[in-house]
Order: sequence, then structure tokens, then C-alpha cells
Amino acid sequence: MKKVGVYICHCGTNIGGTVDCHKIAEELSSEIGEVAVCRDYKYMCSEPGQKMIRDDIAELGLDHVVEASCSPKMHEPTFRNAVSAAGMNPYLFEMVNIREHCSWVSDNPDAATDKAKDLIRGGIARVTHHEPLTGSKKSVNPTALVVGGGIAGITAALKIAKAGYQVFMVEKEEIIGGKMAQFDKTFPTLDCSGCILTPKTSEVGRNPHIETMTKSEVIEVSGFVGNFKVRVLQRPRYVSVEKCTGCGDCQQVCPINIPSPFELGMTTRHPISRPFPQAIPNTYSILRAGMPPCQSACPAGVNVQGYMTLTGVGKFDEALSLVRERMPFASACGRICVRPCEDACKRGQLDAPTAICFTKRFLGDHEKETGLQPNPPMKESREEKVAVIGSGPSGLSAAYYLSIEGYQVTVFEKLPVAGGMLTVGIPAYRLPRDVIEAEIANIRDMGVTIRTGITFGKDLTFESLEDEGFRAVFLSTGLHVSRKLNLEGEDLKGVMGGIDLLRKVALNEQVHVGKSVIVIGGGNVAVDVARTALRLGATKVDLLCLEARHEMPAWERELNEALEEGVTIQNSLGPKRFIDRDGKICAVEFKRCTSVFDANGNFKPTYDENETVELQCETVFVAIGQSPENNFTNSLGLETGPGGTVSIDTETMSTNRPGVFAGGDCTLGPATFVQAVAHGRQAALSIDSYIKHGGLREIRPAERKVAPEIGEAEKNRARPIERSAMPVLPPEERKKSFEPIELGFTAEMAMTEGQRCLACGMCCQCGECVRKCGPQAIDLSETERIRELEVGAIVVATGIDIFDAGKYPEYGHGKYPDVITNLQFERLCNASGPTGGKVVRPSDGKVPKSVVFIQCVGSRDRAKGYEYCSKVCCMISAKQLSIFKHHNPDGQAYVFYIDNRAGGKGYEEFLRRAIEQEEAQYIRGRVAKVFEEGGRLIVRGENSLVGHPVEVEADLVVLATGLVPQKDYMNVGRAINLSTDRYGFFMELHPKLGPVETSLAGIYLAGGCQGPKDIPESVAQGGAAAAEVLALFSMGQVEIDPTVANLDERLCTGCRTCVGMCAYNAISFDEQRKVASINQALCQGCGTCAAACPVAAIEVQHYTPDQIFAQIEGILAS
Amino acid sequence: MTRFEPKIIAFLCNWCSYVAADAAGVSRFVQKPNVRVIRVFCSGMVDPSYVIKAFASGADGVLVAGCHPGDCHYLAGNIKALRRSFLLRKLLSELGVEEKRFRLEWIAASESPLYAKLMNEMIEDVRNLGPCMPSSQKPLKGVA
Repeated sequence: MKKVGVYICHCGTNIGGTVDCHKIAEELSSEIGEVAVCRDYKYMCSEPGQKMIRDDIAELGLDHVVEASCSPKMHEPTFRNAVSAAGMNPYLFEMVNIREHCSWVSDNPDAATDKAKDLIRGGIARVTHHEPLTGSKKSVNPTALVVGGGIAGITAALKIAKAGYQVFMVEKEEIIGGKMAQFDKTFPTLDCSGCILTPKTSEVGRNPHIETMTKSEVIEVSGFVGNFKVRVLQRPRYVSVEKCTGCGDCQQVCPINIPSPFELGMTTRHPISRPFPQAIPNTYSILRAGMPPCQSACPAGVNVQGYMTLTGVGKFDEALSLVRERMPFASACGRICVRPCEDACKRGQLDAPTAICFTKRFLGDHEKETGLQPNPPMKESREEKVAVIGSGPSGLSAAYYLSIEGYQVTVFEKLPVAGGMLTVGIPAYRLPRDVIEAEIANIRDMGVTIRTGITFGKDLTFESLEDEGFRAVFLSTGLHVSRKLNLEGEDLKGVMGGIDLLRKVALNEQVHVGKSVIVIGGGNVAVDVARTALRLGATKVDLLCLEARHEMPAWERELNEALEEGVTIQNSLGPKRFIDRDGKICAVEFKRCTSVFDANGNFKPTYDENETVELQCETVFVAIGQSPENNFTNSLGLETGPGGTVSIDTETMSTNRPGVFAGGDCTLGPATFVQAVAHGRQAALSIDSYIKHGGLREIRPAERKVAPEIGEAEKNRARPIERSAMPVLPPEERKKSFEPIELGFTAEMAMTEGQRCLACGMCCQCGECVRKCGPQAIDLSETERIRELEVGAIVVATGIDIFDAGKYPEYGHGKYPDVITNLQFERLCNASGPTGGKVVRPSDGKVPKSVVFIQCVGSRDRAKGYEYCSKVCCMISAKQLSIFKHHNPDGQAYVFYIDNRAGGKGYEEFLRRAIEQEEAQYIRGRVAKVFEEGGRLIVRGENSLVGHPVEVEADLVVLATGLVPQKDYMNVGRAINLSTDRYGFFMELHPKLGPVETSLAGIYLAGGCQGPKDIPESVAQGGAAAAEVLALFSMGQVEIDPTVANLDERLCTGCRTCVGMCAYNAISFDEQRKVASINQALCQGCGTCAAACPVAAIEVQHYTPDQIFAQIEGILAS
Repeated sequence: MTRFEPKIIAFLCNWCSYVAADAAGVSRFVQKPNVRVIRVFCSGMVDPSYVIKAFASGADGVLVAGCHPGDCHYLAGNIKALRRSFLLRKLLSELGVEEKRFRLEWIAASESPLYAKLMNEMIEDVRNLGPCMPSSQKPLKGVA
């Protein structure tokens, strides 16, 4: 029989006051045979207590020890060491928690004693099944990661680096320094915060052992103490830290101003800037929120915010050049685009979207006026030839971008004119010929050859192009065949395809249009046909379509214009037959269309054949869609998809034939102009890559998108300007000719539209700074990247946030400009702050006479804020009123407080000075309300010492906002696997004895992320965390817990259930021996494999079923 | 007649629920003395046989508690515990163990008041059910 020694701790009266330890000891000695000795003692963790255990092991030859006292989280290591010292394997020991789980939570001593006895009995039963275990040793990687670059993190990093170890510092913001960088002075010494911080930050910058990663966040930590693997997400700074000289030329040309987060919105900054002159890294960086919705909505990805901003400041040529980076046809696009950008524009959620399209059109018009042709810079000329088949928007766009890349491009066009549908599909009143001709001329001027009147398949083939030395072909032949109804009488004289009419008109061919015209179709082409017919002399034009009015695919704007011009629209009618007189059309019979789409939204019209309408006419145009020339695509030997469209890879635009790419309508079916242009550019990039590398283009990760809903910050940025309306010709005038209807924006209108932009993406990537930067340090194409680090220890010092004063609407923060938070007050005092260090009212810049401080905003308030005391606000207000008085000795400060908390070295004395020397009036009581009366702020509260309401007139009100966890504490906690308390502060290992350790070995806490604290405490914790890290590094190796999974191969059936369970890939399947195999170095000991194993072949050492079963039986034995 | 005092075995995960139970002690959140805690690394390590064993050995209720989904120290051991719990519940009901006698709960380290509340609640639920006497009308003792 095994010999077990049992020791029961009184823990003073903590246990002994409730649990009758002595009685249990006596009973257990007699009741359980294995118990060789059972003692109770006042403090088992004390040296005499530990010695008692050591002596018993030696003298009585104990096999096991059970110790019943506090939580094993507290003293398990202590007692394991004690038994080790006596030569016992530490895993032959078991600890029973009778304090936290028993004496402290029981109010009935008898019941508590019974409970403690049960628990100890469980421990005794369990321990007899314990086996000696030895953990393996792993070396420690002597590299540290410090998460957070505030004063706590800086302190830790400097101390670790000073000892000669490598440190990675990961900081979320663009600079290090944290909240302390925003403070003006520190209490109680009134030291200048910057003066004591910046030597530290620059030391971090200089130290060769510290590598700082700004705008970065830890997203995943794996591994274990001494051997962590960390994934860090690095957001782009866009400005190279190595190349930037900090000259500041860039910010002078930046056209955007946004509220400065560092200055808490009290002033603006340019997206390219640095928060203050001594910031570390002492280089510029760019704030970019992500891709703005206008740009993400644009199929061509045109940088809308960029050119709108540039237009807003009158830089029209630069704006046009930016448009042309993605869209060669500014003028055409500005007239005919479907404008997904304007639908997405967030200004639309406020009043009306910015007039993006009209502004772009203005840029094109401006170009025509000035004759300048701003294009993106051309790259070096190359010899390779590329053929483009079809000169529509897609083909010309491909030609344009290929030409920019330096290629020799020839465009082959079947029709006698270039432009594709732009020229022969869109009526001149929407897109005047001279406009499109000028844009095509621009493409020609860039060196693109356009040969018209050449039919691919007849005059040219792939083979002949190859023979002529063309390295690649881009096919963009569009859809030029009018789809037919396939009804009786469709080939009658007077019945014609819609796009055939548009083409003939565009090519000045003879067309006969009768006085009364029927147009069949509900799309944009049908509307164009109807309006063209009017202009050709028709007096009565009826447009009939299957769809109900709201289902019509045609643009609402176009439909309205058509209605204004006199077109009549009849909905829900489908043609039944064409009726002739002498072989010529004279009427069309229509039947009622009951529904157009089926339940799944597919086009599947149903009719009521009995309800018919007959309509007289002289001419009918059928505009129900287009298709490619079937016999043509069939002859190419290319794979085709639905409707005869050419099949392509949507990322690279490549067809199944090497070197042949395709895009635009011939691949998409009827699509939009802007999609066609996007295809052209995408194909150009792929062709470039195909020719240069023989492969297909690299696909870069897409930029993160800005949230589509408008936020407060954007609303605040909105300048109160109304959307400009486009001047148009009156309907009676316009229907007489093909003169353009829209007259265009003036420069002033375009500029005001540019100024309406909300700058949703913050930096608009207009490129002004890039052009200005001498050392070429700016790269706007930088993207997020993930960096993997290997470190041995981690210090988490992610800091603290300031309570959102908006949660107390009665205090008027955000409503009255002269109600500010205490952090804003710090910036007001600061020499590099928004006022250059003058303490003045934000509203009018006047020096305030009376300043009221309101304490405990967000702290000690269970209802609206947080229950805890933020610890620093009393001192901050005392400091701030002192600074105020030093700036303005005639001023008067008032403080509404709950209690003055001034625990700390020199704190109380400082507070007394604020009251006695600075003559601040401290009024005890909560403030009910801050309101404006007669142009002054009134603070109404209660003086709870005299029990009277008080009102104080204030020029400036400062809210002493509390300290709260960082908004993203949850993300950080999950990435690093930290526990949080109920507020969101990270939990230390022990509130008294483990203030910087966490429950995870090798991960330590410092500063505000663990709870509200002031600077000296944060610094002390930073140092303490560094000491923990250095202790770990100097040990050189760590013992890995032997509590890992163990497989009994004799039992394993090879079912592989465990393989799928393991989250750490520690279990593999041995194919040869047909059993599972556990890599104990990777095993974390979670035991989920053991619980899942159907034959119980896996056990976690020290947590075996035998041990647990014994413990259950022991506990329940009474 | 003395009041029935049920015995409840609580398997608490080392990283969240056990910490919550400790914190409940530190905060002196008084609990009825009916719970006996067994510490495990992860709720995912609790083999269903442990639960059955506890009932068989005379427990009147069993609690398994782990970290909240997404917070598991071992990534998703708690989810695996949840997956197992469905079959386990079925099995327990076959054995005649009433539904309220077995609970699987997520208790974060910071939720010590919740821990105390849940425990007191469960004790009363089980007390109302009376001693665990599965269908055989005899305690399950000795089955597992």
C-alpha cells in the first residue's frame, strides 16, 4: 500500500476560521488506510510548513503528498518545489483547493468542513494514481516582442534591449509614445511630458537592438514560452522610413484636410503628415482609411476621390491624368457612364451624391479647350507588336494601356470608323462625335495605329497576325447583331433592328423612318432608338416593352428625358404578330405580358393571349438586345459560353488559345461602357505580363474597403454646398436635332463638386506628394502585409483609451465647442498643439476667465460609465487647473468632485497647492447639466456638503474623462490568448503577487492594458515585465510541462478520429504501422484527442481517466 | 426531516472557469456548499465517461464549464465539448438522468459573479429533483 502524507493548511483564519482543519486531519488519518500521516498547520506555505513536508518525506518514506490549502494557481509551484527538494518527483504531489472554492465561499462551517473533507478525499484517491513525470527542456529564443509603444512598452523594450537582447516593438499608431505623447505636463512635478518622453522615444529609434513596426497589429500568437510564433499585420505607411528626410514638402501640396486624431479633432491635418515634430519614427506617413466606396464601385477602379479632390483645388490637368490611369475616355465616360460611383457616394446619404460623372466630363471638356492632353507617363518603347481586334471602348482601352507600357499596338476595325458602340451605338445627342473623335485622336497620338475597314476572319486571321509578328491578340469585337423576335412578319419592309438604325444614322446612311413609329424593347438602346426616331422626323413614337415601368432596365434619367421629348411608353406588352399591308408593315398586335421573370429572377415571360392590343405604325424597331456574330466567333476555334460569348478567365482575360485575350461585350454579353474599359485595361496588364514573363499577371491583394455607411467623422467633414445641376437644352429644342442635350459644367461648378467630396478614404492617392517628394520616399501602391516573428517572450503593453464623453449628453460634449475632455485640454496647453500652447476657448479663441472641471466622467458610475475609479483624473484636474492659473493668474477654476483621491508620492501636497495657492474652488457633488444661457455656459450641480444646488458660469468646461480599455481589447486578447476582466482589462496572474505575469508563461503585461494607472506605475510595470523577460532569457531554457498526450499503440485501431481533433497538428497517422503518432513537442495537453478516442488509447499524462475516476470516487465516497 | 443536500461535480477548465471560481472565492461570493470542483485543462478534455462515472458514483448533478466560444485556450476544445454534449445528453436521458442534472456552460475568467450565480441556481434545480435515482430506482453506483 502506498504511503500518502496529507497536509491541511489553516491559512491563518482564511481556511481555519471556517473549516475545522484539525478535525478533518484526525478523521482522515483513521478513515483512509493510505494516509500515513495527516497534519494541519497554520501556514503550510511558510518555511516551517514546507520543512514539515520535507521531513516527513525523508523520515516516513512517503510515496505521495496531498496539500490542501489555497488555489493551485497560487502555490502549486511552491509545494512542488518543496517535495522536489526532498527528492520526490513533483508530479507525485496533488494540491486541493479548500480556500477559494470552500472556506471563502461558505457561510456554514459544518458544511464547509464536510466539503473540504470530500475535496481532500478526492485528492488522496487521485494522488495514489500519480506517476513520476519529467518535462523536456526547450531552449529559449532570446528575442522579445513588445506589443504597444506607449511609455510602459518603451520602458520594457529599452530595458530588454539594454541587456543586449533583440526586441521587436509593434505599435498600432504611426508613431510611438502612446498617450503620454499627447500630454502637456505631468503631475505632481509639472514636468513637461514631451521633454521626459522624447528622449526615451528617440532612444528606441536609435537602439540597434529594437526594431519598431508602426501601424502594425499582432493578429496571432502560437507556440509556447521561449518559442512563440507571432503573426503581425503591417498596414502601409506609404512613406519609406529609410528614405524620408522629414522635410515636409509633401504636406504642403496635399489637397486634403482631415481632423487630426492626435489633436482629438481640435485641428486638421493632411493625410500625409506626422503628429508632432519630435515624433518617432521621425518621418511622415499617410493616413488612408481604405478604398473609398466610389472607387470600389467603379468597375474600372478609377480613383474618383483623387480626381474629385484635385478638381476641387483647380488642378484639372492632374485630375484628368489621374482619371486616365484607369479610364482613357474622360469625356465619353462623363457623358454616358451608368455611374455606380455616384450610387455608392456616401454624400448621397447626407444630401445628394457628388456629381462625379459631370465633373469628369468637365475635365474632358477642359482638355478640349486647352488642347493639352494629360496622360499617364509613357514607359520605354518596346519592339513587341500587339493586335487589337475591334475599336470599341474595350479594344481602345487595351490599346491605350499597352501603348503606355511601350508596345507597338495596331487596332483593326471592321467598320469605316473607329470607336465601336461609342460611335455607332450611342446617339450624338448623348455623345457628340467630335468628343469621341478627340479621345480617339489622343490614343492615336500616343502611337496606336488604328486601321478601319478590315474584317477579322476575312482580311486577317490569327495565323496571319502571327506571321506578321504580333505577339498577342486582344479580341474585343462587341455585340453588333440585333437580336430577333423570331415572329411572323419580322422581315417585312419597315421592320428593323434597333442598333441597325443607330449604326446607319451614325454612318450617315440613308434610313427611312415613318411618321408613326413603334419601338419594341425596354432597355437603353430602345430608348435611344425612340429618341433618334423622333429626331429623324417621326411625330408619334410608342415604346412598348414586356416589363412593368419599375422593371424596365433602361435608365430612369433617359426614360424621363424621352418622356419629356414626347415618346409614349406602354408597359407589360409583348409583340404577337406583325401585320402588313401590301408587304409593308402597318400595325403590330401585342398581347398582355403577365410576368417577365420567374420566381428565381430568370427571364421567363408569361402572357395572356386573350388580351391583345393592335397598334398602327409605319415603322417598327426591334431593340430587344444584341448578340455577337455567331458564325464569326464559331470560326475562331475559341471556347464560347452562353449566347455565343467568348469564354475567358475573368482574372487574366485569357482565352483557351495561348496569346489570345478577349474582353468587353463579346465576352460579357450586353454590358456597360465602363465594364468594357475595365476589361481592356485588365487585358493590357495581362498581355504585358504574358509578353514579358510568358506568364499571367500578378494579382495584388485588393485594398481594404471603407465602410459603405456614412460615419460621424465624414458628416462633420461635409462642406455645406449643394450639388450643382447640369444645364440642359429644353425638350422642345433638343428633339429637333442631334445637338448634345447636356451643356456641361463650368470650372466653378466642377470645383465646388470636388469640394463636396467627403474624403471617405482620407488620403485620396492623387499623387501630388509623390510628384513633390525629392527623395522619392512615397509609394502609394504599398499594401498590407503579414510578417512572421519568432520570439521567446511577449510583453503586452497596449495601453488605455479615454472614456467617450458623448455618453453623458447632459454635459454637452460635442454640442458646445467649449466643453472639452481633459485630454483635449492637454493639447490646448501644449506648445505643439492646435493653439500653440495658448489656453483659449475653442469657440472664439478668447482666454477663458472661469474654467469648470467636472470629475468622474465615466468613472465610479455604474449607470452610465464604469464602476471603477480611474485613479488619475483627480490629479489631472489639479494639474490642469494649476497650468490654467499659471497661464492666466486672474482666472478662477472650479472643480466638481466626488472624492479627491490623491494617493501617491507628492500627490496630496500637490492637490493642496491647487486648492490653497491656485485658489481653486472645490465643490463636492455631481454635475447634473451643462447648458448655454445668454451666450455663457452654465454648470448646474449640487453642493452635497451643504445640500444645495449650485450654478457656476463657465467660459470653458473640462470633463475629467476616465480611463477605459482600448476599443480593440477583444482582438488583442484573442490574438494573444489573454483573459480579460469584466471591463476589458487584461488579467494578471495574481492581483497581488503576479501583477505583470499572465496565466500564460512567457507573456507579461505592463501599463494601462491591465488597469487604469498613472505614468510612474506604468513605467514600474514596464520595468517589472522586462525583469521577467530577462529572467527567462538568462535561464536559457524552459521545462515543458510533461502533461501531454500519450498513445498506447497496442490499443490504437487507426481510426484517425484524434488526427482531426488536434488543433496543433501534433497527431499524424503512421501509414506504415496504421496507428496514430503524437508529436509531444507540439502537443499542448488540451486532451480533446483523449476524450475523443473511441478505444481510450490516448491519455493526457497527469490527467488520466484512472486519476479522474479515482478523484470522483474519492470526493463522492462519503 | 433534514433537507436534501445534493452533490454536484463541476469539471472546470483551467483557463477560464477555474479562474472564475477562484475569483468568486477572492470576492467572497457565497455559494451553497454542494459543489465539488475537479480541475481539467480544457472542457474538451472531459470524456463523456467522466460525467457518467460521476453520476454512477453518486453525484446528483454534473457541470462542465469552459471558455466562451472563440476564447478557448486551445482554440476550439470547448466547441468539441459542445459537440460531444448532444449525444451525452441523449445517453443520460436513456439512463434516466433528468436533463437539468447535466449542464455545459461557458464561464469566462472575469465572470465570477456568473459562476456563483450559476452554481447556486443549479444546486436548487438539482435539489428540487431530489437524489439522482435513475430508472432502476437504485443509484447508478458501480456501473462505470
